[in-house]
Parts: sequence; C-alpha cells; structure tokens
Amino acid sequence: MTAAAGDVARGRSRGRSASRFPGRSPGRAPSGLVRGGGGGARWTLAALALYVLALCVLPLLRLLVEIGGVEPGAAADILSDRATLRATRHTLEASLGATVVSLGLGVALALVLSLVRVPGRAALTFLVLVPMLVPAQIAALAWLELTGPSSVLLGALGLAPETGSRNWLYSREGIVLLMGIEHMPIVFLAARAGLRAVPGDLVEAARIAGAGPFAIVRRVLLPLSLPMVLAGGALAFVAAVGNFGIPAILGIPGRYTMLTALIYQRLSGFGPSVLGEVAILSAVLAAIAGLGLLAQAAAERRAGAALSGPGGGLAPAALGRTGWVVAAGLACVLVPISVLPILALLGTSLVQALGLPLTLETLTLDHYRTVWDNGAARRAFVNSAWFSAVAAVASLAVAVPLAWHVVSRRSRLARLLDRAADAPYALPGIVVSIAFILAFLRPLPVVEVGLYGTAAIVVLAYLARFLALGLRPVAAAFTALDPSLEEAARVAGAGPLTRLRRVLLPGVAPAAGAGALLIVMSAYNELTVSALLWSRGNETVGVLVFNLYDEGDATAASAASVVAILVTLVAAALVSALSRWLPEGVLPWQA
Amino acid sequence: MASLSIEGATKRFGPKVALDGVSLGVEDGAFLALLGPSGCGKSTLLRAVAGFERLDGGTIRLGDELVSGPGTHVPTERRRLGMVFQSYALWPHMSVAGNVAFALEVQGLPAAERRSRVARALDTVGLAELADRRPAALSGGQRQRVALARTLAAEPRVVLLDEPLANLDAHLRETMQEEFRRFHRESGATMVFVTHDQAEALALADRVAVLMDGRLVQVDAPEALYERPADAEVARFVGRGALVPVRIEGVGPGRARAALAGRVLELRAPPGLVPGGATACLRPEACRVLAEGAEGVPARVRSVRYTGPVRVVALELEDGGATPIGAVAPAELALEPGRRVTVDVRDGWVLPPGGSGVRDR
Repeated sequence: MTAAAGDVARGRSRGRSASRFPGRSPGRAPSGLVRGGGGGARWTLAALALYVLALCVLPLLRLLVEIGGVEPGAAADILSDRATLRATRHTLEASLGATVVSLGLGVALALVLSLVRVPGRAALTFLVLVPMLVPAQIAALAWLELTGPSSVLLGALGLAPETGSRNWLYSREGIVLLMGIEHMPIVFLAARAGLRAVPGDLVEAARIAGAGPFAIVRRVLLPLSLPMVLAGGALAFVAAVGNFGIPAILGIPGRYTMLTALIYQRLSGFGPSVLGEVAILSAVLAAIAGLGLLAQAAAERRAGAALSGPGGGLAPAALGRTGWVVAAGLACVLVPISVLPILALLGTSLVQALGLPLTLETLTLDHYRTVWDNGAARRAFVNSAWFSAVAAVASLAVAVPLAWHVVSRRSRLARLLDRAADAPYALPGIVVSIAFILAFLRPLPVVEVGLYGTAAIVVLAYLARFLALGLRPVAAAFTALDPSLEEAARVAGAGPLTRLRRVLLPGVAPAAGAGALLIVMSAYNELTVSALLWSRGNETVGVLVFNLYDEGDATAASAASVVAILVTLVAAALVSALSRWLPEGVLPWQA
Repeated sequence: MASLSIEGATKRFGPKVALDGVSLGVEDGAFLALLGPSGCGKSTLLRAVAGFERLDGGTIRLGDELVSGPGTHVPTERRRLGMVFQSYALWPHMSVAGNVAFALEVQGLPAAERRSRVARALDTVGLAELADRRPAALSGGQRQRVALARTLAAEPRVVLLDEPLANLDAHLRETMQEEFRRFHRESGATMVFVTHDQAEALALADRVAVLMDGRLVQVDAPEALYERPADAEVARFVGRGALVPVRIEGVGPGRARAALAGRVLELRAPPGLVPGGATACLRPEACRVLAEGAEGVPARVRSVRYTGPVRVVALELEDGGATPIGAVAPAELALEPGRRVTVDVRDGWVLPPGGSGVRDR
C-alpha cells in the first residue's frame, strides 16, 4: 500500500475531528475526571513522550534548525535558482493536474457505485482501490511495460509501438495521468463517505418534493457531499506533491523534474555536503503540502458542519438489466487502470527476453531466479520484511498505550503526542528522510554510536512515519469502547494496568492487528523514505525495484515487483479477514 | 455492608456548579433513591461516591473511612463498591461467570472460594444455567441480572445503581423493580439508586432524596415526599401536583382552613403556618369532578384525557387561577371543553412558608 492509502485512513478519522476523542459524557470537563492513579501508568506516559519526541518531533525540529541556519543570501540564491523554480512549477502543475484527474475519476466512480446497484459491486470496488495498493514506483514500471515497445499485451494484439520509439509516458502528461490514477482512490473513498453521510430523509424529502434521480444528485447529493469531495481532492494533492516513485521513474528520463526528484538527484549526486540546500528545497515541498493540508482541514470542518443527523439512509437504486450495462461500462474503465498494468508487469517478468511474444516456449521463471540469486535482491526482501515487521510491532506497542492515554485517560500530554505523531505521516516522506539524515548524520551524543549508513536509521524513520498509521485504528477502537466497561473494572478493584490488559486490550486487539498489517503494507514497499536512507547491505524492496529499473533490468525489476505486489495483497487479505471485529472506517476498502 | 455519609459535597465543572454543598446520610442496609430531572447533579453525586469524580469541597465517608475529602481521594478501585451501570457494562469478551468472577480474581481470592461465590451469586439471580454464555447472547433483562450478580458476588460496602432500568421496556422495568426490591431484602445491601423517574423512585426506595440544580431539596420516605412536598419544585416534579394560590384563614395542629376561589377547604398543613397568602398542592386523585352546582369549587373544563381506569380532566378555576388543576371524573359525567363543573377537593397540602429549605428528617 502506498502512503496515500494511509492518508485516507487518517483523513477519514480526521473527518470526525470534532468527535475524534469524544468526552466520556457531555458536560463533564476533563479537569474533574479522576484518572485512577497508578504510578505504572504515569511511567508509561513518560516513556511514550520520550519515544514520540525523539522520533516524530526532534528530527523535524533539527530540519527547521538547519533551514534557519542557512544564510539568507544563500537561501535566496537556492530559492531563485532556475532548477528550483522549474521544479517547484512542475510540482505545482503536475500535482494540480493529477488532482483534477483523481477528482474526475474518483467522484464519477463513487457516484455510480454508491447510487446504483450494479452486479459485482464488491469486486468493482476492489478494482477501484487497486491503484492505492500498488506502490508508485511499481505502478510507473507497470504502465511503462504496458505501453512500451516491448509490451507483451500490446504485442499480442499487434499494437505495440515500434521498437526504439519513445514512450509518451515520459512526459508531464504521463506523470499527471499516473499520479491521477494512483491517488484516485483517496477521492473515491472521501466522496463515497460524503455520499453515505447524507441523511436518507433529505433524499426522501426531495423525492416528495417531486425531484427525479438526476435532480437529486445535482441539487441534493453533490452539494452536500462537496466538502468531503474537496477534502479528498486536497489529500490527493498532498499525496501527489510528496510522490517520489512516479516523478523519479517518468520525470527524470523525461526531463520533467519535480521537487522530490530534484532533492533525490542533488543528494545522491553530491552527498551530505548539499544538505543545507536540500533542506531549503524540502521546506518548499513541505510548504506546498502544508497548503494542501490546510485546505483539507478547512473542507472537513465544513463537512462536519453541513450534516448533523445520522447518515446512511441512501439506498442504491436497482436498475435490473441496465445494471449489467453499467457494470460492463465500469469494467471498461477499471480493467485498463487496475488490471492491465499488473498483467503487463507479470508478462514482462515471465517472458524470456524483452520484445518476444509470451508463448509457452518463451515462458520462463528465470527472472525470478535471477532476483533470488542476486544477493542484494534477496537481502532487500529479507530487509523489508524485517524493517516492516519491526515498524509494525514497535508502533503498535506504542500506539496502544498512547491511544489509551488519549481516549480513556484523556491526558492532554498524550493528545499533544498524538498530534505530533501525525506530522511525519502527513508531510512528504522525502522531508522526513532529510530530517533523519540531519538528525543522525553525526554519531549520537554520549554513546558515540553512528546510525547514518546503518539499517537503524531506516527503521527509525519508518517508526516515525508510520506511527500515525497504527494509532488511527487503535484510537478508533478505544473510542468505540463503552467507557463504563473500564469504570466497571475500576469498581471491581482493578488497577490501571490490569484494566488495560484484561478489559481494554481484548476490545482493541483486532484494531491493533489491522494497524500492524496496514503498517506492514506501507513499509514493505516503501521507497520515498528509504531512497535517501538506504546503504549497501540495507536495501529495501522499494529501492531494489527502483535500482533494477534504473540499471535497465526491466525483467528482473518486473519479477521483483510482482513478488512485492503479492506480499501486499496477502497482507490486505489478512487485514480484510479481521474486518468484522473492527470499528467502521478503519479499513479504507471496507465496503 | 456499610453506611454512607456525605457532608457538604461540592463539585464544579468550570463555571457550572454541579453539586452545591450536598449533605446526605444513608444508613447501613438502607435503599436510597437519588431523584431529580436530568442535569440536576444526581449522577455526579453517584460518580463522586464511586470515586470517578474528585470533590471540590466536602467529604464522603464509607462506614468510618474517609474516602473523599480535602487532600484525600481513595481511588475507585480501592473503595470496595459495587455498581450497576445504565449500559450494564458487561465485558463482552468474558463469559457470564467470567464477568461475575472478575472482581474476585482481582481481589486475589482462591479459586475454590471464587467458584462457590460465583455460583451463589448466579443462583440468586436465577442465571446459574447461563454461566458459560457470552453477554451478547443474553436478553436485556438477563444482562441486568448478570450485572446485579457481578455486584453481589464482590460483596461491596455499598451498591450504586446508575439508572439501571432506563434501557428496559416498560413491562420488563416493572419486573426488574420487583427483583431489585427482593435483591435488597435478601442481601441487606446498602443501595443508592439514581433515577429521573419519580414513579420508579417512589416504588423502589425506603427513602428518596430529591436534587434540583445541584442542591438537595428534600429527603424523605416515599409517602412523605408525595404527601408533604417541601417546596413547589418537588411538588411539581413528584406526582405532578397542581399548585394553586390559597388564602389561609385558620390554622390548627397539622391542618389549615384555606380559601380557594371563594370556597373554604380543609387541607393538611406544615407547622409554623400563619394566616395569609400561601400555595397549596392538589393531587389529581384527590380532586373529583362533579356536575355544575354540586358542593365544591366551581371550575371550567379545559381538556379531557382518557387513561383507561379514569378520565383525567384539566380544569380552570372560575376566578382566574392561571395554572390548571388535574382531577378525575366519573364515567357517567358528560364533559367537553368549556363546560362548567364543580370540583370536590378531598385532600391537599399547604406548602411550607419560604418554600425551598432543605429538610432531612
């Protein structure tokens, strides 16, 4: 899963921001609440505060210090440099363009799938969400394999472009299209949530007033769900601004450099000596993303204000035979954007040599064997498995007690920590990785241990970036628990840690499991953070795919990608199996 | 079991005063109802006794132990209380027996004694055969019984009940009221029961404490509360008494002669009443509608409500009394809005002068 998917999860929980952590009962101010003492609970909170400060706050502060330390004249030079200006313009225009694509596709799909009872609705919804599960660099690769001269699929139809011709995806339009598709599910989920939040009686009142289906969509449903749609659009924009895989794979050869790719090029070309310069560039990137986040927050405030009553009264219309026509139409859109690129990737990974048609004779598993035999490649799969597992376990070990302090014990400090944990997740990943380079470039004080160039810096950056992803479902689960369950345990004489273990944990365990799997899905294919932090021996799957492709080994890159996608799908299937024990809204693809 | 004594309990939420110097004693083994409209502070008082809320002033004692007071706040988990929640608060991941046994496990009781106490508690509420079920598989009434058994098994000093019947339908509520009475009789537990339903409070408790705006207005036995409300608010809230202005013309021991709309009535009266203006509380069942011209107070029918056993009539007094008074009407009498009738007031209570003093008798 890409960061975008998590953005949605976060966005949705933000959607209820006013009631994110509702008080135990209205009218009772937190000051009066007795938290049930317990030195153990206080010590855990102190440890949590240390963890969040060290990982989520200090590196970003270190980045701020670095930015502040650049001389004003030098900063102005960097900002007015032609390359900076061009990359900024490219980031803005491509991200806005991609947002338009995401909005158009996402809203249309959400309308059809929410309002019409089409056969195979669950499968079609899954297809809509596939782009979110495929990491950006793999999506770019898959589209190149789908549309390039050596395309197995187009070749089979005799439609492949001439050998040696340039793929048109290496262009602004290609980047806009692919980022638009990649982040479309964010808009889709937001629009669907917006439509579902419209109270059914508003629609019924419009029908009594004589409005037909189109008038209801145009005059009632769209205006009422507009704030949520805009919030989704803003999140898609933020995701596009921070996207690295697509601008790197399409933009660098296409000479259309965006800020993320420019930062990567500078750092990998000149090393830590240009840290001051890239810190300024990352500040520009963070500022653009920040604007998007502000727009999202504003839109969600309006969404919260617009609808007060309970939603969900919207019943999809039955169309009879026309439903099949609609389903076929949806398939015509969704198969090309969700299925064909992956099939193309699979084809490339199975064909003996690029350019050959895929037949029983040319079918081979050699490329998978090549990846397996390549020590660095094998290491990457093992590393990513370790890194993501450690990130998942450690994040949940922190998220569960932190969410408990926020929701059940209503600690103000914990609430601040919870907000702080959002920052590394909301900001573009490349900003986080620069912050971590700055923070850990020099050996740690006192213990004199250097983390730069080790696996530890990658893992620590993952811990910072994905904590929010684990916190959301767990906090939602704590909020959904009846507070009197814990009060009853207190009356029964149970101390704070006994209550957490015996009464609360069983209630939030499924959500914690889901959070862990969401982190694994994100971290396993992560590229944006590890692209700047990896070192020999500490490669990740995202870096592996990117480097294999960079070296021109498209077949091996495809084989590695197919394996990576399989891992993601298995994690998605596991987390779906948990879904019946989860509070609503934890899984973005839950129907 | 233990007694409970509250002295000057005060609790503020920001600018709002939720409890304003409440003093209240509950004897060992008594059954007290805390009654009041929503927002009056009754739940805050209960939660302060439970230890969920810290007092801003005053003290709470369980038996001889000071549990809440200036500089003292014994945490809930060390107060050895029992509590029945409105939502039942049964732990969904534990079986019925697991729920009942939890407090005993936390107390560190040996397994054998735990088992026997769980079995005894489940027997008492008649749920022994459901011990292995999960709460989700139980009906509302059964869940309520599990919550009671859970409380009983822990052998608490005081049992607190926070509107435990609010989530049950009317029929089941009556059955459970019976159960609570029996539970109280058999266990001898000191029980404090919060409710906003005056009929429930009157039916269940030995004594009822009425809270209004964070102040304790009256504490009395149910009959006394109903027959001799301390002030206008209590009179209106309990039994929906009609309040009418009267003129006291003569005072005797426990009685007074009071003029209402030109007719003189003999009403019950508190000590210390002096002739002059006063307010009387008239209950519908003590006022009977008669045909026009009969002996009584002339009135005019405002509306009629058929309730099954009787018709309840809202009447306007002839000479301008603004508040309508309720009365019951015999079936044979023709009544329609506007018709002149006579009302025969058989009983009434003159409110004490000054009206709103706290009386804890």
